[in-house]
Amino acid sequence: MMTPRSRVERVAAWMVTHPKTLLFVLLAIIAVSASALPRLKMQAGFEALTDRTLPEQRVLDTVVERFVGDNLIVLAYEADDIFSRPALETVYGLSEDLQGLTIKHPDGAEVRPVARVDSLTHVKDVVGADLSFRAEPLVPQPVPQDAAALAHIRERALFNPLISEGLLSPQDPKLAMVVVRLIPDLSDDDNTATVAKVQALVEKAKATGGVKAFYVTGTPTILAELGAFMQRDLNVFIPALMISMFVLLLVCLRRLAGAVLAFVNMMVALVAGLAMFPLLGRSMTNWSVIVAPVVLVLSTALLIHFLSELAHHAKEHGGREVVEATLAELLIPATMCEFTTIIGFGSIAVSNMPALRDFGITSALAIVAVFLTTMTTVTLAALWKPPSFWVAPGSLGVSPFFTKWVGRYTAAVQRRPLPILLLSIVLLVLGAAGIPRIYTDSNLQENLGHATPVRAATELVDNRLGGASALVISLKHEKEGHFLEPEALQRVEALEEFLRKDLNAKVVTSPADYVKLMHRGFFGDDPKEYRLPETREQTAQLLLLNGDDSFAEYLDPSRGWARVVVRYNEHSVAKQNVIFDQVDAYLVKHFPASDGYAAVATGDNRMLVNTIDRLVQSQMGSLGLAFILIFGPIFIVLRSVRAGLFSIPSNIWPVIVILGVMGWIGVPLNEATSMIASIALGIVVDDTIHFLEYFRSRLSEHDDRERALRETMLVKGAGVSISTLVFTMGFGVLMLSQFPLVSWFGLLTALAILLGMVSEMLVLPPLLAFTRTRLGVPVRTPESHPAGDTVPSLPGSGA
Amino acid sequence: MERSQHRGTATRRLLLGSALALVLGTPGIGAAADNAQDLMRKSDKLHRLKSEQLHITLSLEEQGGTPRKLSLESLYETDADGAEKLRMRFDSPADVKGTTLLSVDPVGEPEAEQWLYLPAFRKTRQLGASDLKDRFVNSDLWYEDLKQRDVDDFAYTLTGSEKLGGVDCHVVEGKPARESVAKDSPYGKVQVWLRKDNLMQVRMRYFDKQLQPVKSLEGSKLTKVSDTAWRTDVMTIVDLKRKHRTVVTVDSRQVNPTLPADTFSRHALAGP
Repeated sequence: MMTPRSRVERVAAWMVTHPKTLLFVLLAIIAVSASALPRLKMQAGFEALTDRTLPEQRVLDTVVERFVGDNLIVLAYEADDIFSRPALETVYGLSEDLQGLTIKHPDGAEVRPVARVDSLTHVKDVVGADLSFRAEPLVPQPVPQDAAALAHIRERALFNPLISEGLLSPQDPKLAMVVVRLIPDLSDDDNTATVAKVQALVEKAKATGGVKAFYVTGTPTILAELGAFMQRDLNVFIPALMISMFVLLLVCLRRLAGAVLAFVNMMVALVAGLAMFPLLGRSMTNWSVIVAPVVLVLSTALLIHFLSELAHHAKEHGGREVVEATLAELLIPATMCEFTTIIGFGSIAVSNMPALRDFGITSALAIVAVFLTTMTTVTLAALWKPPSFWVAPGSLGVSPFFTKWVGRYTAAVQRRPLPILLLSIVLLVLGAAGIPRIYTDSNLQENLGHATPVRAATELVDNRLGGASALVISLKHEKEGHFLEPEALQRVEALEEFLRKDLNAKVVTSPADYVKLMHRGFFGDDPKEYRLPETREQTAQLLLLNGDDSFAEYLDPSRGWARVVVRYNEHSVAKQNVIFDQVDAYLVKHFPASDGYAAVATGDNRMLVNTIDRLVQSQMGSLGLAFILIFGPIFIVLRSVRAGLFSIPSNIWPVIVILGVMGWIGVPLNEATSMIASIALGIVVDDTIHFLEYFRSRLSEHDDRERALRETMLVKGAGVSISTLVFTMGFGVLMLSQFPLVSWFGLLTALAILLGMVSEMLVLPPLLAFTRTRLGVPVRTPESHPAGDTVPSLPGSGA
Repeated sequence: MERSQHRGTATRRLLLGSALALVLGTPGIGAAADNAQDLMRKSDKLHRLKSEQLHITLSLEEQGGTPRKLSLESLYETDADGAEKLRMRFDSPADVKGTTLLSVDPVGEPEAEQWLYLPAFRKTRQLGASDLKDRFVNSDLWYEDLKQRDVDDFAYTLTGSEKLGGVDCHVVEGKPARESVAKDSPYGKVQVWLRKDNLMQVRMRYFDKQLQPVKSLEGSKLTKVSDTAWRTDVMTIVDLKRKHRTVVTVDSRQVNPTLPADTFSRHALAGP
């Protein structure tokens, strides 16, 4: 047994002499995790995306409470004749079913999630004649049979702007829609259940044959689809990654037992990592599904490091000493590496988006769990069987080809470090030149996979039914009854005009439309009378006629608060911000506070856009935090300011280059790609730590700087290559995601890690050679190293 | 000829002033042996009045909002032919002053004729048959609540007994008894609390066609207005889904007034 000298060695010795305790700890972690895992929930809803404490969210909540929410499922449908009896009967039956839709909770409680259904058969028309006026259903029940009556229904629908704009297509007479408004604050589970039931009802309606096709979209549907993506992603990621890691390790270790150990280790790490979600009371979202491949990759990378050190120490030690020496060598750098990775993910927790905040915290703790389980698992395995059982001797060593290549490169670096350094600077500058081209954007429609039914439905509604995005404009006046005044309604009418002409909004609905409709009806449907009344009294008295609840969605009972809804077909966050800015400017000018107004453009869509904007800003801010939190401790662990400073350039290099690449190829910063820099930094810095630590340890052994660099390049170069391969494969598997955000994130993060490997070769060695630094390692003196000290030879080095 | 007709809910009774005779302590009234249908018929008969003149204030209250008040004069009469006539004229707020609704429901006709005069336009329009779920002047009173219904349009059963404000009440449940009523009425079920002493309807619960609760009505400040008839001077209707309520307050009442002959004519809609 080695005589323990340092604290780390004492810890290593303790671990080796207390295998039962380690086993107990491991089993306890597995037991707790396994019991929690069944409670793991998926969440694709709005709650995960919005910050309810924000002032603008509170404004929206107030508007929703006073009026209605804009949580809508849109069912566009196509028929040869949408005003035919079969089509109308199908729509009537579907609308009735939708109104009565209930979902049951496991405890037996029933929820009725549908607040209202608007369709051709479930909408009122205002009909005026010479001396009469009535508000009646557009389509009487039963649906008429004769052609004249059906033609009359069509005529009435087209004559009523609220119906023709709200439910029909201006371009395609064969298209119409059913709008299903859900109750506010529906839970994500209820949302998913509701969407499933709606789709079942749609299938039932399709079977009647009255309608050719239905297209289902709207925010609840999109969110349910994203949830399904998540589940499909997990079903793909985990097996794909485990198989590829298994094969990789089989090739690298050349021992089936080693590959099996890695497989078991991955399973344990996965269970422990994912269990963090239910243990912390969090749900898995479309972003945090990334945690699964991350824990698999980290556990494998750590295992490779461990087995590599184990094989190395097996040449000099035997029995338990091998394990003790390995742990003594590995504990600090491994802990530091995990720490920096934790910081990289944990820095995401500064986000104001709950989903990402939770992702940051949960993934950081998952990495802690992975570290604990992996260290205990491989330690126990190493104590149980000799190293040769797990890894073939020389298998993780370097190949002759690699030795020759690295040897030549190292020689070139040491001979002429400056040109190589300059090359790295040129590449850095080229990369950095792309950074100003980076723009922030996210396209909510693009987040849906191509060729999915929801995407197709959304595009159809966008292109032919006025748009699937909605903006809600709240116009509150300090005086009750204000919107009875002609002047106030004229302002609302002018706002509509602006929205249609200047912003090309396809569908705009406001109280002014209802009042004009009633005015026209009162005057016997004379088209010239589709106008606003001239006096307050006229408006007030007309509104006494209106008994339909739908009007209350646009003007509150006090008549001092109006709501205007705009539908448009834009999903790009950047372009929507342009629209919002224009609307905001208009409201400030035409509904100023000085006139008693509190006017604001809001809505679920705007909240999401604002959240994504803030998220991206905060993620870029978290990069700075990650930098401080990662590099600060490195200075401490390396016990040298100089060494700490040298750790920075080769890690900043890949971050700047990847951001530049994003700028050059036009990949925007969005809610996923903004995380890449922090996460990549946390991972690529691991190799630098290993590199610098090994360089210093070799230098302190034999005091030959050039030899230390050569040895480090050879040993750690191999390690960097393998770990880079593992991480690249791990993040690369995310490219299989059906969620484009995750797919792009995977690709770019894998690329960033590859660039990290490049910088470990291209930046750090030339820097060390050029500066001839010893990284704080003191020069050997005869007193500190008496003659006769042997310098251990490097495996495969021939030295 | 006496018409045995249900005057609808307590709301309609309040607004239309139908009279029934109250016989305090009369044996048989509310006796256990009466079935629910009989009780409802008796209630209808007891509290009917030939004519009534009321001044009413409607307070429309939104949760978190300021109440909006409308006041109106309501005149009701059953003429010699049995036709029921109603005229409501708004007198406040100023922007609706003079707006007048006239409803004439002749015997044997399926629907009442309704006319509305809007003084701002100086025009009268005949209103078509409203969706019975539409709100009367944006209140929580639906047109169903104002519609004349026969007692036997609903089938009533006695479901129990309960004390309200210290007074024993029958609890009666009613469901549409005819197919046409089931189709037209927005209510799938109503629950009625009927005081045992005077068969006055003092509480109602309304359920939609999916039998989900949609509204409640509470009557208070009971007043005896004639030998047999009682009225509630304050009625609170709560829309359980919209979180909105309407308080109907009778400010003044005249029972069986003598009304001018042309009170319920169209040419009198515009007022003096």
